[in-house]
Amino acid sequence: MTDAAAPVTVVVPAYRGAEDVRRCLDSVLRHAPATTTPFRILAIDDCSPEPEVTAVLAALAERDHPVPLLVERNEENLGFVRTVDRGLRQAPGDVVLLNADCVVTAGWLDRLADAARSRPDVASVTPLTGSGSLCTLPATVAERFGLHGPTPDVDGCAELVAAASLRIRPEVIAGVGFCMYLTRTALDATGGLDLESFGAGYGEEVDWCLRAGRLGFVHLVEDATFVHHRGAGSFGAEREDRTAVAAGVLRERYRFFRPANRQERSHDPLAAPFAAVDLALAPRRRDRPHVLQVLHAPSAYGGTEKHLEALMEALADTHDFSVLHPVDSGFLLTTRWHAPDGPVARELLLPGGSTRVHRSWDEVAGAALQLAVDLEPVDAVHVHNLIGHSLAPLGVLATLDVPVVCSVHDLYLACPHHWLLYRNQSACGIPDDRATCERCLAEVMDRPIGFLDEFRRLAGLAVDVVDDWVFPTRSAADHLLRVHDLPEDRLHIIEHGSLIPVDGRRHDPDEDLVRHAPLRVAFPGRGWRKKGLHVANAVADALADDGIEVHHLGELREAASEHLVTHGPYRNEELPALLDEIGAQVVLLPGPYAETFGQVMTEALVAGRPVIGARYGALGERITASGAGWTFDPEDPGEAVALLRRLDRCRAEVLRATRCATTTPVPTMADVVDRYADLYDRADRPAPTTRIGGRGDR
Amino acid sequence: MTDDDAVTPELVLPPGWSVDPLVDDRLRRLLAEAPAEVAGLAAPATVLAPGTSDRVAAEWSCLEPPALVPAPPGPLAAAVVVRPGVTHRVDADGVVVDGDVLVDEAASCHAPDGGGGAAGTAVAQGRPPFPCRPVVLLLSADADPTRAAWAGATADALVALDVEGRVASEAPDVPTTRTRPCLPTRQAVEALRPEVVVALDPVAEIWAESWCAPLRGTTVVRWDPDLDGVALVPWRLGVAEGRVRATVGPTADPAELAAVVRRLVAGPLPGLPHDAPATVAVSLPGRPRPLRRPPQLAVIDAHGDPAGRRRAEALRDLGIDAGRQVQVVDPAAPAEEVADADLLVVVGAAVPPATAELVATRRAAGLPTVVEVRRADLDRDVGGWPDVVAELRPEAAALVALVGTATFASRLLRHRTVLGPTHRHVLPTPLSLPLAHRVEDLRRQPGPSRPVVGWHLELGDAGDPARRTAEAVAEGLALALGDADVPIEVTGAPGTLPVALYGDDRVSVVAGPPGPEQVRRWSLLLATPGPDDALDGGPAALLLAGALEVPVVWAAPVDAERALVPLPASPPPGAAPDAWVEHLTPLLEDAERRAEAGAALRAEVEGLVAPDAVATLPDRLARRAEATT
Repeated sequence: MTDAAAPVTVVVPAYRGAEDVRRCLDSVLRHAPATTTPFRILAIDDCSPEPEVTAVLAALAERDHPVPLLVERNEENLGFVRTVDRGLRQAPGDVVLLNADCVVTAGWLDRLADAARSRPDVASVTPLTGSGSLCTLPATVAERFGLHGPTPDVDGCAELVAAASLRIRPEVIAGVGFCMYLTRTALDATGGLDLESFGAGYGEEVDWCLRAGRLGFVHLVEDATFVHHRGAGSFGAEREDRTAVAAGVLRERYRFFRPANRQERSHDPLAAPFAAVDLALAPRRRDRPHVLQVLHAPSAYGGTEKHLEALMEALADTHDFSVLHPVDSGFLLTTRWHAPDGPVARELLLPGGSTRVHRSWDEVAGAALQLAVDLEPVDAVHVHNLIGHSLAPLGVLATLDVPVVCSVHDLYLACPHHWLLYRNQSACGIPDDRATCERCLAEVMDRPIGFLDEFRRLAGLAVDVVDDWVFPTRSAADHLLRVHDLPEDRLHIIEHGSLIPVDGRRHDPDEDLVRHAPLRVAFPGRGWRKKGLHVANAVADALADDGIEVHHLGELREAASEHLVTHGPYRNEELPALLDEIGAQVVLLPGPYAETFGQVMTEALVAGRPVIGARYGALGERITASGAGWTFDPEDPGEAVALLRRLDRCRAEVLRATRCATTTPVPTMADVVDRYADLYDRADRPAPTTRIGGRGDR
Repeated sequence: MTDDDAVTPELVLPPGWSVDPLVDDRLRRLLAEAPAEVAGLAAPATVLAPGTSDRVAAEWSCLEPPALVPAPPGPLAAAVVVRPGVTHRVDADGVVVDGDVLVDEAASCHAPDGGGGAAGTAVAQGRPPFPCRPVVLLLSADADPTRAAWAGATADALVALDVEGRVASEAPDVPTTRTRPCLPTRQAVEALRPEVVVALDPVAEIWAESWCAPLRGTTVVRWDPDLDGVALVPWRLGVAEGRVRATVGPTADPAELAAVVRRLVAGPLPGLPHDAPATVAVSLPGRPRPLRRPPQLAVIDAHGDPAGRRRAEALRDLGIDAGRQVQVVDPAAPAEEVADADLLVVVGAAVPPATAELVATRRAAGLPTVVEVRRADLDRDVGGWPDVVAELRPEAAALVALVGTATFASRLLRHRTVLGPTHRHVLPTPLSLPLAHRVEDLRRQPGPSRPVVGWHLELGDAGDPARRTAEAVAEGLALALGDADVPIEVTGAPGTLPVALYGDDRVSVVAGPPGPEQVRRWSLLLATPGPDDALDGGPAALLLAGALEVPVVWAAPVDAERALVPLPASPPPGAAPDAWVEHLTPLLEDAERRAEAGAALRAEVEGLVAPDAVATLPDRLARRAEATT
């Protein structure tokens, strides 16, 4: 049995390329004095046909070195694998297999050894390099440091990698043989390399790694360490043949390997470390605050996404942004910032589940946020929506020493069924009757009531984590106050800016249309129950014989009544023109969903149309405040029918509301953006009144 | 005067009068369409109906087709839009126009004395026809003049702030100018469907919680005489108190109250969601209108006492809910068209001559009329628990004999009324249609997982025979339950609890009638109503229990057959505690038996509580009456 505590043996097989061999061993010896890990060097001349190789090794062997350097020579050429095996057999402890065309850098061995000892089940550790399978740094880095050229800046690259590293040491299926640290424990357990199958070279380290993996060992990549590898220097023209043979053996022996390897390539565990290095090439300007925006899974129709896009655009001259949101295969981080050399845009897929997060607290989502803030320090975090993230990001936000802003676009923090529609039918009002919630959750989410209790408990952490709450309406705030005790001094009501141009806004009602044309009602928005398609259907049916037309504009997700005139999808900015084209005098927003703002209402106001909407929620608040419309109970379509019949008989009332619609102020994003900037930049904010662990002493 | 003034018709009003812009617009349009010789169009001043405001009255009036009549000579008590160049003046009696003026009788303007006045039954037109401004009902159970004055001033101020303030009070003189007070009844809440109720005393708060049960969005603002201004009450789960979301004090600025009202209206709905299918049949809210054809249902409240008034209002609302055209008629001067109504219900058999004449006319024409016999129609008082019988007063007997059909609000009243050959029906006041729907939703939800006993208990003083019964029932109940962890929830007006329940920590007491949610929690209801309540058709708890399939045990000092609705026999009056132990034990221990009893009771009251049955009840009543005509 060998000794795991013995010095590390750095095995360097040499066959061709005297200059490579000299550079390699020089680099190891140069950094030896600063290395704290006890080690020795074993250079093995595999009966090189180049006398210069033998001479270089002989010359080194004659000199004194800070660490022992042992040079051996095979009597005949054994090939790479058997030469390595000779080294392994002589090593009493851990081993580093170092190709002779490598150049090591400062701290390399200490960090590899540290990684190897970071947990008891490590079999191998591989550093990053310029040419080494999945450990190969991005091309931008190789280009910056000339890694593929005649005079690579090896130390410069190593410094950048060490400085930018996330130090997450990701796990991989197999290490890469150019420079691989093998632990004695794993070597003893696996029995060394398979000389029979891979004696000619290539594939032997993968085979060893897979065997170790089957025994429960793991393979790490040391993502703060760079070792230069010139690459393709060992076997010359035979390389492709040997690779193909090795691949065949591996496929035969490990049926799981190919799919697992494919999976690893598509969900690259090194994507984040590489992105960190890549981003470090273009440092941000310190005079531009960097705000991380946390968003739910985006959709083409979502108002939140459009709002965020407009917000970032409006602040593009002064702030840098990153956006983190879940996608099917993980979390996508999109960064946009201004480096001294110009704008930088990167997209990075951070690790996550193969499906979106569904648990209340999913560490994967927390890890993604942690990674996002580790990649590039942020000056503020703005949470727009945690759907698809779970609530775990709150745990990460609690540890950050930057302003945390939360915009409430929906009421996810009140209930995981964030539509707040009881059994997807009627506004629930966030009832205090647990039996009501129990029935609803069981039906719409297949969850027990305990899930809601736990969800709300965890969401309650947000109260302390978030510094400033932004609501587009008072109603939205009041709904969340039903569940969480938010401090009033941290609530901000900031109306959403219009997402469509307001320049061409109509300021005078078309009196002829309002007074004399047949009454036409437009229902813009996605056609489904949440937005009240069932109400619009009922209204259209009831008014079919009254000469009052009801039109739907937008995508239809459910069946429309034969009496509803449908027009199909449209772009938001087209709405005013479409309403003119249809000749609609009134906009109906019949959804039972308690809107937090209602961008469609803003668009109706831009078009100069009064709105009929739910009495509660943001629509009720805005309609009542502006007089630009009327309210009703979406649970009673008869109310809307009666109202429309009355409006048809009293066009003066339609005209009155239309005048309100044309004169109600509609802010643009430019009008409100300064308030967001103030929140991002509030470094001197007073200490929070209540805090949870980790943030109380800010 | 500008150039525009010279070509634009001018609105002329007596000082202090007002006209809504919609009415102004209407008059101008009508004037533009009128022959050139018409010099002006006038909207007469009207007296506001109870529960309305000048603004809402104007809005409703604009929905009516024009009713143009030539103006009488002389000053007009009206707002007049006059053509350019027409000379006019305003004197003490109104507007005088030199030329022909047409009066649009369907339109209205508001004179300073058009509001205020005596409170009456709130009309459905109290709610804006174009809902945008929230309705706030300032509700008081007493007639405190100071609070009434505050409520009147606040209601007027709210109207000016685009919030439809209304006063519901028994106070004889509520000083309002822009609104007309209404009476504080459940009907007022059902008619006005206020978004916010300001409860001006503790009883009003209880009423608000109960009466607003069908209104999911209605919040309550509590009166706090010591509060300076308006303060929000946390509505956070676990902290909130029912519908109460704010408090208001006597120094509150109406603008501040208006802002809070708007905020509450847009906030989370305080009521529970319904389980009814979201796609409901579209039904237009019924409302009394100027009749163009005979009403389908006419109701005459002959006595005008509070109980009779509630009864008449309930019957009227029943008709409205059922989609009928309904007219409530002045007994002293019934409108002519009532003579042809599909059905006439006269609440109280002692009627003025005009009503008696009307009934006779209808009888001659073969049109059905139903007479509702009230306690006041009997020749002696039959109140109290000992069974006393009485005959109808002669004029009442004559009327009942004429129509041939009499209804009674309770089985107890029918039992105590000696009557000749007449078709007699017991018609307890049914659930309103919204409440029936709400109850139906509740019924579909799971019942209590363990036994919970509800006891609706109304006790008088020590001499009340009901007290002796209650003591025996309580003792029997305590013995039957033993140490079992069975909650006992007492509602009503229990006065002091029966001795056997003293110190029992399973007992909780809630004053006032139970709401449907509370009854739903019960697995058994003991019913001990007060005698007046039993005679007048209450308590509603029994109907609710039947609707929710909760079995009822009659625990009153008369036989169970005299209960509001048919109930299984229970220990007779004066029974000892042991009899109650024997009676209650199987019901408490056997869930299956309770379910059977609940289902049987439901079958008995189906016609009064099922939404479909409620909606067709006027039809059924009419058919019964027709059968005897």
